Amino acid sequence: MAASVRWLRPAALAVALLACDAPTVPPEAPAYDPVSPALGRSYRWPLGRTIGVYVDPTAAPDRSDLADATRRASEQWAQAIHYGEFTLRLVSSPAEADVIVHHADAPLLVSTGGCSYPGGGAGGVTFFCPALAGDSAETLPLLVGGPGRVKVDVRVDRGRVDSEHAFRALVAHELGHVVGIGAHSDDPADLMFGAPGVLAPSARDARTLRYVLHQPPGYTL
Amino acid sequence: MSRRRSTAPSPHAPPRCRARVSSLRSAVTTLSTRTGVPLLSRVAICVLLAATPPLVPCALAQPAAGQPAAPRFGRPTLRALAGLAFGTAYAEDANGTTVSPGLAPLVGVEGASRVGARTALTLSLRASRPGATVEFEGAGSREVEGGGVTTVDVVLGAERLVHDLVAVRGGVGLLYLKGPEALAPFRFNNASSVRPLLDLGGDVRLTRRYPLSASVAWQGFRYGAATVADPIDEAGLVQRWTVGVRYGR
Repeated sequence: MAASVRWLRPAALAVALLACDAPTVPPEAPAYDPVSPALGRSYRWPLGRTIGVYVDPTAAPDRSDLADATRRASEQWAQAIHYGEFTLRLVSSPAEADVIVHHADAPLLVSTGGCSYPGGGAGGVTFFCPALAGDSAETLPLLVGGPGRVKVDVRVDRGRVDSEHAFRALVAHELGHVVGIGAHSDDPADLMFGAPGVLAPSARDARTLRYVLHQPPGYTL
Repeated sequence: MSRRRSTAPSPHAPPRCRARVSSLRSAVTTLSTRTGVPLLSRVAICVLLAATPPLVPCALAQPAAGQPAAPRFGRPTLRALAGLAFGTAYAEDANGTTVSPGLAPLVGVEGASRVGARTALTLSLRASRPGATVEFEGAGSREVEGGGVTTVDVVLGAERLVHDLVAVRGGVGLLYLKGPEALAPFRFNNASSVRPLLDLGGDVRLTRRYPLSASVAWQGFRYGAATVADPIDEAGLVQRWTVGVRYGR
């Protein structure tokens, strides 16, 4: 018995020494300010949320596949996160959607709540309406009636970009706004640059998104 | 049953081998004398022979003609284990996110072979599937279920009775760990889902009538930084505990 006790002491010491550290991910800072200048606050979806995305095929111009561009962009953004903070999933009807993506010439499927839809000459617009009270966004009612859960509307204008590549980049860029990056990068190598030229989020975009996702949000979508 | 109590090398072994075994024998005999456990010498010799390639020919040497071969291992017995497993985080992110295993049922089987009156060698296989819980503490203490983590370990160990009802054991093995692809510690770990594992534990016999024991074990393995893309820059120790009952001699 005494011999065994002599063995147990070094074993316990070894366990204590081994127990000093855990697998660790170092801290990250955003590569650029992710807060929308217009809102003045960050926003994001509740963590762990599956975000339903409905792609409206109405008024599709020739040579543009919005659904395919949206699906590819969703996959790209999924690679930027580490802990399943969200899942983008294409859905088949507006009633299942949290986000509606549509062409510029297609009529809106939702009302804009208490907010006005932004105009202007941008190739893409990502719109949601902060609630008057609280830190959430309004649910945008479906114009056809019935229950809905749409919080975000995305409009993309194929006519304002000169190639399919640029159109795909535009869709991926708008999806970056959807998942929580409210501002633009000043680096043309980033997908969130104002006039995006790449199809996938850069390491800087990914770092900025992860930062947003792990902070308390200004608005919860 | 005749038992060879000496650990002397076979006369068929090469001279250099015999010299090394003799020195090992004297070292282990000293240890045995101090601990008062003569059979320890045999166990230690077995382990050292297996672990030292130049001595393998000694282990394979045949006994002298006319001398019966001594049984080194008793007839293996089979044990079953059922219990619960829990553990520390798979990954801790400095942004306040932690990925941890939940409490999960565990089942296992174990083969044991006596190599002495109080000592046995064991080979165990255990499996569990805890859910991975992601806690976003920095973002408001929200917990999200990330999916199941398939956990299977195979451990080769030695077990020693330290009391009529109490046994302690230790071993090394391999752990297979496969978790949800969406979670960082698993998504970036495709270079290898198998990890070396250290296992320490003990059993307390619950009744003399049946071979039923309460069993606890601590396991430790290193995790992280398996690939360049892995965000876990600092690999660390994941600890796992199992608590349960074991049935079998």
